[in-house]
Amino acid sequence: MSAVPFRRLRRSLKSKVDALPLPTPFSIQALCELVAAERRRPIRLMPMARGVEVCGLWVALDETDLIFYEQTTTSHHQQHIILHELSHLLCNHYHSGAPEPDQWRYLLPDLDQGMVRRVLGRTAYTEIEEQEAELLASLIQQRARRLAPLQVAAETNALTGRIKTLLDWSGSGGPERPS
Amino acid sequence: MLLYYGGEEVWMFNGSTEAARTLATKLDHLFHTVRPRDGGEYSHEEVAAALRDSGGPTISATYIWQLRKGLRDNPTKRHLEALAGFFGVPPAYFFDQAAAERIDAELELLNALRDTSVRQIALRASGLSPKSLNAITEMVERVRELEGLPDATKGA
Repeated sequence: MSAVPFRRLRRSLKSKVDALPLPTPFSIQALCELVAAERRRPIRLMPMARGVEVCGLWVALDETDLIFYEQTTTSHHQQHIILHELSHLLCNHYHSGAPEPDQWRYLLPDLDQGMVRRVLGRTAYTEIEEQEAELLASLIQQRARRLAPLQVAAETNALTGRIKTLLDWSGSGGPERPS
Repeated sequence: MLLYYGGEEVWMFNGSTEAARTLATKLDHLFHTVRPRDGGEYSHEEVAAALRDSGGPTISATYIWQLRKGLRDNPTKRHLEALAGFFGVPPAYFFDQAAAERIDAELELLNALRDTSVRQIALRASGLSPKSLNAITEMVERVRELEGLPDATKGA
Protein backbone atom coordinates (compact mmCIF):
# COMPACT_ATOMS: atom_id res chain seq x y z
CA MET A 1 0.00 0.00 0.00
CA SER A 2 3.05 2.23 0.15
CA ALA A 3 2.89 3.14 -3.54
CA VAL A 4 -0.20 5.38 -3.27
CA PRO A 5 -1.04 7.44 -0.16
CA PHE A 6 -4.37 6.37 1.31
CA ARG A 7 -6.02 9.79 0.91
CA ARG A 8 -5.14 10.06 -2.73
CA LEU A 9 -6.33 6.52 -3.34
CA ARG A 10 -9.60 7.28 -1.60
CA ARG A 11 -10.09 10.41 -3.70
CA SER A 12 -9.44 8.60 -6.93
CA LEU A 13 -11.77 5.74 -5.99
CA LYS A 14 -14.44 8.22 -4.90
CA SER A 15 -14.52 9.72 -8.38
CA LYS A 16 -14.86 6.18 -9.71
CA VAL A 17 -17.88 5.59 -7.45
CA ASP A 18 -19.48 8.92 -8.43
CA ALA A 19 -19.15 8.00 -12.10
CA LEU A 20 -20.73 4.62 -11.50
CA PRO A 21 -24.36 4.33 -12.68
CA LEU A 22 -25.90 2.89 -9.53
CA PRO A 23 -29.20 1.13 -10.18
CA THR A 24 -32.30 2.40 -8.34
CA PRO A 25 -33.51 0.69 -6.37
CA PHE A 26 -30.05 -0.52 -5.59
CA SER A 27 -29.46 -4.21 -5.88
CA ILE A 28 -26.23 -6.09 -6.15
CA GLN A 29 -27.61 -8.16 -8.99
CA ALA A 30 -28.63 -5.09 -11.01
CA LEU A 31 -25.23 -3.52 -10.39
CA CYS A 32 -23.50 -6.69 -11.61
CA GLU A 33 -25.62 -6.56 -14.75
CA LEU A 34 -24.68 -2.92 -15.40
CA VAL A 35 -20.99 -3.63 -14.91
CA ALA A 36 -21.19 -6.75 -17.07
CA ALA A 37 -22.89 -4.82 -19.86
CA GLU A 38 -20.28 -2.07 -19.70
CA ARG A 39 -17.38 -4.52 -19.75
CA ARG A 40 -19.10 -6.74 -22.30
CA ARG A 41 -18.17 -9.71 -20.17
CA PRO A 42 -20.85 -11.72 -18.38
CA ILE A 43 -20.61 -11.93 -14.58
CA ARG A 44 -21.78 -15.04 -12.77
CA LEU A 45 -22.48 -15.03 -9.04
CA MET A 46 -21.48 -18.35 -7.50
CA PRO A 47 -22.52 -19.08 -3.89
CA MET A 48 -20.04 -21.08 -1.84
CA ALA A 49 -21.50 -23.77 0.35
CA ARG A 50 -18.99 -24.04 3.17
CA GLY A 51 -17.62 -21.53 5.63
CA VAL A 52 -13.83 -21.41 5.31
CA GLU A 53 -11.25 -18.65 5.66
CA VAL A 54 -11.95 -17.63 2.09
CA CYS A 55 -15.18 -15.63 1.97
CA GLY A 56 -14.98 -14.26 -1.54
CA LEU A 57 -13.13 -15.01 -4.72
CA TRP A 58 -13.03 -13.52 -8.17
CA VAL A 59 -12.04 -15.88 -10.93
CA ALA A 60 -11.43 -14.33 -14.35
CA LEU A 61 -12.01 -16.77 -17.18
CA ASP A 62 -11.27 -16.05 -20.82
CA GLU A 63 -14.86 -14.98 -21.53
CA THR A 64 -16.56 -14.63 -18.14
CA ASP A 65 -16.00 -13.27 -14.65
CA LEU A 66 -17.03 -15.51 -11.78
CA ILE A 67 -17.70 -14.08 -8.32
CA PHE A 68 -17.76 -16.69 -5.57
CA TYR A 69 -19.22 -15.54 -2.27
CA GLU A 70 -19.80 -16.99 1.18
CA GLN A 71 -23.48 -17.76 1.57
CA THR A 72 -23.52 -18.72 5.25
CA THR A 73 -23.32 -15.11 6.44
CA THR A 74 -25.63 -12.09 6.74
CA SER A 75 -27.03 -10.60 3.55
CA HIS A 76 -25.19 -7.37 4.29
CA HIS A 77 -21.91 -9.25 4.48
CA GLN A 78 -22.74 -11.18 1.31
CA GLN A 79 -23.36 -7.88 -0.46
CA HIS A 80 -20.02 -6.52 0.75
CA ILE A 81 -18.18 -9.64 -0.39
CA ILE A 82 -19.73 -9.42 -3.85
CA LEU A 83 -18.97 -5.67 -4.00
CA HIS A 84 -15.36 -6.35 -3.08
CA GLU A 85 -14.98 -8.83 -5.91
CA LEU A 86 -16.91 -6.54 -8.26
CA SER A 87 -14.49 -3.78 -7.31
CA HIS A 88 -11.62 -5.84 -8.69
CA LEU A 89 -13.42 -5.65 -12.02
CA LEU A 90 -14.14 -1.92 -11.68
CA CYS A 91 -10.50 -1.19 -10.78
CA ASN A 92 -9.46 -3.06 -13.86
CA HIS A 93 -7.34 -5.47 -11.89
CA TYR A 94 -7.14 -7.59 -14.94
CA HIS A 95 -4.32 -6.51 -17.21
CA SER A 96 -4.09 -8.20 -20.55
CA GLY A 97 -0.40 -7.36 -20.88
CA ALA A 98 2.52 -9.68 -20.35
CA PRO A 99 2.22 -11.69 -17.14
CA GLU A 100 4.55 -10.62 -14.36
CA PRO A 101 7.03 -13.28 -13.31
CA ASP A 102 5.79 -14.04 -9.79
CA GLN A 103 2.07 -13.50 -9.92
CA TRP A 104 1.00 -16.96 -8.76
CA ARG A 105 3.32 -16.77 -5.73
CA TYR A 106 0.44 -15.31 -3.73
CA LEU A 107 -1.59 -18.51 -4.04
CA LEU A 108 1.22 -21.04 -4.45
CA PRO A 109 4.06 -19.70 -2.27
CA ASP A 110 5.94 -23.00 -1.86
CA LEU A 111 6.11 -23.88 -5.51
CA ASP A 112 8.89 -22.73 -7.78
CA GLN A 113 7.37 -19.99 -9.92
CA GLY A 114 9.25 -21.11 -12.99
CA MET A 115 7.59 -24.50 -12.66
CA VAL A 116 4.18 -22.87 -12.11
CA ARG A 117 4.65 -20.85 -15.30
CA ARG A 118 5.64 -23.97 -17.21
CA VAL A 119 2.47 -25.67 -16.04
CA LEU A 120 0.09 -22.69 -16.34
CA GLY A 121 1.64 -19.60 -17.85
CA ARG A 122 -0.85 -17.34 -16.08
CA THR A 123 -1.19 -14.72 -13.34
CA ALA A 124 -2.53 -13.93 -9.80
CA TYR A 125 -3.12 -10.95 -7.46
CA THR A 126 -1.26 -8.56 -5.18
CA GLU A 127 -1.92 -7.10 -1.73
CA ILE A 128 -2.32 -3.54 -3.07
CA GLU A 129 -5.05 -4.62 -5.44
CA GLU A 130 -6.83 -6.40 -2.57
CA GLN A 131 -6.90 -3.20 -0.51
CA GLU A 132 -8.02 -1.12 -3.46
CA ALA A 133 -10.94 -3.48 -4.09
CA GLU A 134 -11.87 -3.49 -0.40
CA LEU A 135 -11.95 0.31 -0.23
CA LEU A 136 -13.97 0.67 -3.41
CA ALA A 137 -16.50 -1.87 -2.14
CA SER A 138 -17.02 0.24 1.01
CA LEU A 139 -17.39 3.46 -0.98
CA ILE A 140 -20.02 1.93 -3.27
CA GLN A 141 -21.97 0.74 -0.25
CA GLN A 142 -21.79 4.21 1.30
CA ARG A 143 -23.06 5.84 -1.86
CA ALA A 144 -25.82 3.28 -2.27
CA ARG A 145 -26.98 4.14 1.27
CA ARG A 146 -26.81 7.89 0.64
CA LEU A 147 -28.81 7.62 -2.56
CA ALA A 148 -31.64 5.75 -0.93
CA PRO A 149 -31.47 6.23 2.84
CA LEU A 150 -35.07 5.16 3.38
CA GLN A 151 -34.81 2.25 1.08
CA VAL A 152 -32.01 0.51 2.87
CA ALA A 153 -34.02 -1.28 5.53
CA ALA A 154 -36.60 -2.49 3.05
CA GLU A 155 -33.85 -3.48 0.71
CA THR A 156 -32.04 -5.56 3.25
CA ASN A 157 -35.08 -7.81 3.24
CA ALA A 158 -35.44 -7.59 -0.51
CA LEU A 159 -31.74 -8.37 -0.87
CA THR A 160 -32.16 -11.52 1.17
CA GLY A 161 -34.80 -12.57 -1.31
CA ARG A 162 -32.56 -11.73 -4.25
CA ILE A 163 -29.61 -13.55 -2.77
CA LYS A 164 -31.88 -16.56 -2.32
CA THR A 165 -32.71 -16.28 -6.01
CA LEU A 166 -29.00 -16.17 -6.76
CA LEU A 167 -28.50 -19.27 -4.69
CA ASP A 168 -31.23 -21.02 -6.64
CA TRP A 169 -29.40 -20.32 -9.88
CA SER A 170 -26.74 -22.81 -9.08
CA GLY A 171 -29.31 -25.40 -8.14
CA SER A 172 -30.99 -25.20 -11.53
CA GLY A 173 -28.20 -25.80 -13.96
CA GLY A 174 -25.91 -22.94 -13.02
CA PRO A 175 -26.38 -19.23 -12.42
CA GLU A 176 -27.93 -17.00 -14.98
CA ARG A 177 -25.67 -15.09 -17.23
CA PRO A 178 -26.44 -11.37 -17.11
CA SER A 179 -25.90 -9.98 -20.57
CA MET B 1 16.24 -40.72 9.37
CA LEU B 2 19.39 -38.89 8.29
CA LEU B 3 22.62 -40.87 8.47
CA TYR B 4 26.12 -40.12 7.40
CA TYR B 5 27.53 -42.87 5.23
CA GLY B 6 30.93 -42.74 3.61
CA GLY B 7 31.11 -39.01 4.19
CA GLU B 8 27.80 -38.43 2.45
CA GLU B 9 24.42 -37.82 3.96
CA VAL B 10 22.13 -40.67 3.14
CA TRP B 11 18.41 -40.74 3.68
CA MET B 12 17.62 -44.13 5.15
CA PHE B 13 14.17 -45.19 4.22
CA ASN B 14 14.92 -48.92 4.40
CA GLY B 15 14.30 -49.02 8.13
CA SER B 16 10.68 -48.36 7.41
CA THR B 17 8.64 -49.65 4.50
CA GLU B 18 6.12 -46.94 5.32
CA ALA B 19 8.73 -44.22 4.75
CA ALA B 20 9.86 -45.87 1.51
CA ARG B 21 6.28 -46.04 0.32
CA THR B 22 5.85 -42.39 1.20
CA LEU B 23 8.92 -41.42 -0.81
CA ALA B 24 7.73 -43.48 -3.78
CA THR B 25 4.20 -42.07 -3.48
CA LYS B 26 5.44 -38.51 -3.30
CA LEU B 27 7.78 -38.90 -6.25
CA ASP B 28 5.01 -40.54 -8.24
CA HIS B 29 2.70 -37.69 -7.27
CA LEU B 30 5.22 -35.14 -8.55
CA PHE B 31 5.46 -36.93 -11.90
CA HIS B 32 1.65 -36.90 -12.17
CA THR B 33 1.15 -33.31 -11.09
CA VAL B 34 4.08 -31.38 -12.49
CA ARG B 35 3.66 -31.78 -16.19
CA PRO B 36 4.60 -29.22 -18.81
CA ARG B 37 1.66 -27.17 -20.05
CA ASP B 38 1.13 -28.88 -23.38
CA GLY B 39 2.55 -32.27 -22.65
CA GLY B 40 2.32 -35.49 -20.69
CA GLU B 41 4.45 -36.53 -17.75
CA TYR B 42 8.19 -36.02 -17.87
CA SER B 43 9.96 -39.28 -18.67
CA HIS B 44 12.58 -40.69 -16.31
CA GLU B 45 15.14 -40.08 -19.06
CA GLU B 46 14.13 -36.41 -19.34
CA VAL B 47 14.51 -35.92 -15.60
CA ALA B 48 17.92 -37.67 -15.51
CA ALA B 49 19.12 -35.62 -18.49
CA ALA B 50 17.88 -32.33 -17.00
CA LEU B 51 19.68 -33.03 -13.70
CA ARG B 52 22.87 -33.96 -15.58
CA ASP B 53 22.67 -30.84 -17.76
CA SER B 54 22.13 -28.56 -14.78
CA GLY B 55 25.27 -29.89 -13.13
CA GLY B 56 23.37 -31.82 -10.49
CA PRO B 57 24.19 -35.27 -9.19
CA THR B 58 24.30 -38.13 -11.65
CA ILE B 59 21.16 -40.20 -11.28
CA SER B 60 20.26 -42.78 -13.88
CA ALA B 61 16.79 -42.92 -15.36
CA THR B 62 16.53 -46.47 -14.04
CA TYR B 63 17.35 -45.38 -10.51
CA ILE B 64 14.69 -42.65 -10.65
CA TRP B 65 12.19 -45.24 -11.84
CA GLN B 66 13.21 -47.57 -8.98
CA LEU B 67 12.74 -44.78 -6.41
CA ARG B 68 9.36 -43.99 -7.89
CA LYS B 69 8.26 -47.62 -7.71
CA GLY B 70 9.56 -48.04 -4.16
CA LEU B 71 12.13 -50.63 -5.33
CA ARG B 72 15.00 -48.52 -4.01
CA ASP B 73 14.93 -46.52 -0.82
CA ASN B 74 18.43 -45.16 -0.32
CA PRO B 75 18.63 -41.82 -2.11
CA THR B 76 21.27 -39.36 -0.94
CA LYS B 77 20.27 -35.97 0.32
CA ARG B 78 21.67 -34.50 -2.91
CA HIS B 79 19.49 -36.84 -4.96
CA LEU B 80 16.37 -35.72 -3.13
CA GLU B 81 17.32 -32.06 -3.40
CA ALA B 82 17.95 -32.44 -7.11
CA LEU B 83 14.64 -34.22 -7.69
CA ALA B 84 12.76 -31.64 -5.61
CA GLY B 85 14.48 -28.87 -7.56
CA PHE B 86 13.51 -30.40 -10.88
CA PHE B 87 9.83 -30.56 -9.89
CA GLY B 88 9.89 -27.10 -8.31
CA VAL B 89 9.09 -28.06 -4.71
CA PRO B 90 11.17 -27.48 -1.56
CA PRO B 91 13.24 -30.55 -0.53
CA ALA B 92 11.22 -30.54 2.72
CA TYR B 93 8.44 -32.09 0.64
CA PHE B 94 10.15 -35.46 1.05
CA PHE B 95 10.69 -35.49 4.81
CA ASP B 96 8.51 -32.87 6.55
CA GLN B 97 4.90 -33.99 6.81
CA ALA B 98 3.45 -30.56 7.60
CA ALA B 99 5.31 -29.02 4.65
CA ALA B 100 4.26 -31.92 2.43
CA GLU B 101 0.61 -31.39 3.33
CA ARG B 102 0.76 -27.71 2.41
CA ILE B 103 2.71 -28.36 -0.79
CA ASP B 104 0.29 -31.12 -1.79
CA ALA B 105 -2.60 -28.66 -1.39
CA GLU B 106 -0.78 -26.20 -3.67
CA LEU B 107 -0.03 -28.93 -6.21
CA GLU B 108 -3.67 -29.96 -6.18
CA LEU B 109 -4.77 -26.40 -6.89
CA LEU B 110 -2.15 -26.10 -9.62
CA ASN B 111 -3.43 -29.30 -11.16
CA ALA B 112 -7.06 -28.14 -10.99
CA LEU B 113 -6.09 -24.90 -12.77
CA ARG B 114 -4.51 -26.82 -15.64
CA ASP B 115 -6.40 -26.55 -18.94
CA THR B 116 -9.09 -24.27 -17.48
CA SER B 117 -9.52 -20.82 -18.98
CA VAL B 118 -8.82 -19.30 -15.54
CA ARG B 119 -6.62 -16.29 -16.16
CA GLN B 120 -6.60 -14.83 -12.69
CA ILE B 121 -7.78 -15.49 -9.16
CA ALA B 122 -8.22 -12.73 -6.61
CA LEU B 123 -9.13 -13.44 -3.02
CA ARG B 124 -9.19 -11.68 0.32
CA ALA B 125 -7.22 -14.14 2.41
CA SER B 126 -3.46 -14.49 2.36
CA GLY B 127 -1.11 -17.04 3.87
CA LEU B 128 -3.61 -19.75 3.07
CA SER B 129 -3.93 -22.93 5.11
CA PRO B 130 -4.15 -26.28 3.31
CA LYS B 131 -7.87 -26.23 4.18
CA SER B 132 -8.41 -22.90 2.43
CA LEU B 133 -6.35 -24.01 -0.54
CA ASN B 134 -8.57 -27.09 -0.76
CA ALA B 135 -11.64 -24.84 -0.72
CA ILE B 136 -10.22 -22.82 -3.63
CA THR B 137 -9.39 -26.05 -5.43
CA GLU B 138 -13.05 -27.07 -5.05
CA MET B 139 -14.15 -23.79 -6.63
CA VAL B 140 -11.75 -24.29 -9.51
CA GLU B 141 -13.23 -27.78 -9.90
CA ARG B 142 -16.62 -26.09 -10.33
CA VAL B 143 -15.06 -23.97 -13.07
CA ARG B 144 -13.84 -27.18 -14.70
CA GLU B 145 -17.44 -28.47 -14.60
CA LEU B 146 -18.73 -25.24 -16.18
CA GLU B 147 -16.15 -25.62 -18.93
CA GLY B 148 -16.89 -29.30 -19.45
CA LEU B 149 -13.38 -30.39 -18.51
CA PRO B 150 -12.69 -33.80 -16.97
CA ASP B 151 -12.15 -34.06 -13.22
CA ALA B 152 -8.52 -33.07 -12.57
CA THR B 153 -8.27 -35.57 -9.73
CA LYS B 154 -9.03 -38.53 -11.97
CA GLY B 155 -5.52 -38.92 -13.37
CA ALA B 156 -3.86 -37.33 -16.37
